[in-house]
Amino acid sequence: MNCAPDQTVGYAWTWSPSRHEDAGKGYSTNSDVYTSLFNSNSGACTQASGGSCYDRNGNAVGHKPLLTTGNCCGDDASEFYKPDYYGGECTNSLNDCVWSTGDSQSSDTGNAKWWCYQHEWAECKDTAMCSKTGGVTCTGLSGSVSWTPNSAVKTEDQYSCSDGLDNDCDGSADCTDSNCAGRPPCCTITSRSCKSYTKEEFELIHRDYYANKVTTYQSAILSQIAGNSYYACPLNTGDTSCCNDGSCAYNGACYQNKSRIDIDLDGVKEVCISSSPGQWLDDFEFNCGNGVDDDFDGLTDCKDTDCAGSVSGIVENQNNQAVALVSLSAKKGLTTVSTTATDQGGEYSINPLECGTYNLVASHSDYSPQAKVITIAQGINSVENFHLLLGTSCEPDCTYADDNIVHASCDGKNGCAFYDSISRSACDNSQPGWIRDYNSSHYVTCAEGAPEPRIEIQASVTCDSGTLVKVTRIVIYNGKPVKLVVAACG
Amino acid sequence: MTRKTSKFRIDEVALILIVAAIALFISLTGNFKKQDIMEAEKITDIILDDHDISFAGKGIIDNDKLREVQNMDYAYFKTLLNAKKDFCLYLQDETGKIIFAKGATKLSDEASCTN
Repeated sequence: MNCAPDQTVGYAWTWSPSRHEDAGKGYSTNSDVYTSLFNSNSGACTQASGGSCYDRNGNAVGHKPLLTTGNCCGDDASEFYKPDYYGGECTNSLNDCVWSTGDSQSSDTGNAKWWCYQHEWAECKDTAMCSKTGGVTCTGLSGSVSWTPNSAVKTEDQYSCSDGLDNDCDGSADCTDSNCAGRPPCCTITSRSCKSYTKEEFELIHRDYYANKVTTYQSAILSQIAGNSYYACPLNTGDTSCCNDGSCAYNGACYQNKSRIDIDLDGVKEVCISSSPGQWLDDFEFNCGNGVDDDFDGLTDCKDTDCAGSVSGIVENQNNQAVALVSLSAKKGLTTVSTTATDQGGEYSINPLECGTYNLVASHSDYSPQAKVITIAQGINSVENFHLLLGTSCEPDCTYADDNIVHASCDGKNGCAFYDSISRSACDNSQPGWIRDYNSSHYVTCAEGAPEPRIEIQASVTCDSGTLVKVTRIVIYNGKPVKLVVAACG
Repeated sequence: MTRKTSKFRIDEVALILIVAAIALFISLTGNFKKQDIMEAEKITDIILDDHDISFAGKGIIDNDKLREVQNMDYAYFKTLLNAKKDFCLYLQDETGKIIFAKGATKLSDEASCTN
């Protein structure tokens, strides 16, 4: 069979002789050509170099299938003989390429090193960095560039910010690429340090641990104690990280200024204060009287809840019986800061309560209110017990339990009964037994019984012999002036 | 002359004696009266003063102490007051009613004073 001249004029094949044929114009009947070159098998594409093949979308592809329609490439329609560096291949697309092994490969496929595009193989190498062909880009680190689908090209910082190359082929190399901002060497190396506390401050910060022996945090807290020094977090002077200015580092990670996080898992949050001598300090107002916002939370001293203490106690009556529903109010001046009430056992607790001095008022509708001046200290529970006296509860004699004053308001309560409204009005604010005018002809003994008529009795003291002498003084009896007369006979 | 002179002397002596007797009577009566007043005032002062038996200290009647006095034997009460003479003390309200009385019964025909 004679082969026709090259029918694909215009393509620069890189083989010798430079010819290929199709459409019934067979190339050769040489058995070597038939058996060696026409060997496409649809297998895994591992030819040349670079491993598996893929298309420009990153999907895996195989070899072109073997063409067995004739014994001479090009003796059938749509058959094209394609050369490569070493041999030929019969393909069904003019744009297909042929591996050096003779296997054919469709256009827009290839592996990391080679890419078939418009019947040409293009090689990806350092000198071809950032070349783009058929939806792929030759990119990567120096010495290991590869054809990469455009959609899969990584950012500059994922390759290198220091190799002098525009690895992601976006026109900016290394630190000039925004992708490298905050990355070494395009950032400030920050080292971490932990604030040192006194033992007292440390124990105050971790008061819950020390008070309740919370074993959960034991290991973390103990790790913050180095010898006789106490720190906000475990010391690790070698711990640095590439962070921006105004950041803190911990275990290689960066934290923005004022970040609050329990980085060492000790149950107390740490706050990043990049401007402070210690970049990490416990989020705790450890001094409630220095006028300084120690933990930079905007709340100074007693205004910070870290400085809070508490008050608790029990409220009983004069019979040592617990009194429920007693209102306990912590007041500063006329302002009620916090309030609570006793439970059925008479117990109460106000927790937390900002440090400072308060008037603690216990009040109940049946009792006289009581007030105490209390001082709340940081982390301290102040115990304040109250013994209330029955106050506005009315007694049978119409007085309150804790006074000896007759109250009109007690009328009808607990056995208190005024004779009538006139008697009630007359006796209001008197004392039991006092005599009050009921009207012009009667008086009433507060607050008992009916009005009694006034009896005009002239005292009559006589002497059987001798002279009768009387000395008179005005005294107060049951709230009213009366005459005290002392008569003696001579 | 002698008779006339003698008569005058008798009259003068009589007059002097009469005047002296009157003066003595007035003096003795006044002293008794003064002693009675002093006795009454002494008792009053004790009652009003800060004394164990006082029931009207500072001019205000202490009902409890008044009740003690009420139940106290008069003779004993008299002893406590160191009174030399019988007495009757009582409280009288604005209407004249006797609120309280303590003393020698014989001093009161209204039986106000009880012992």
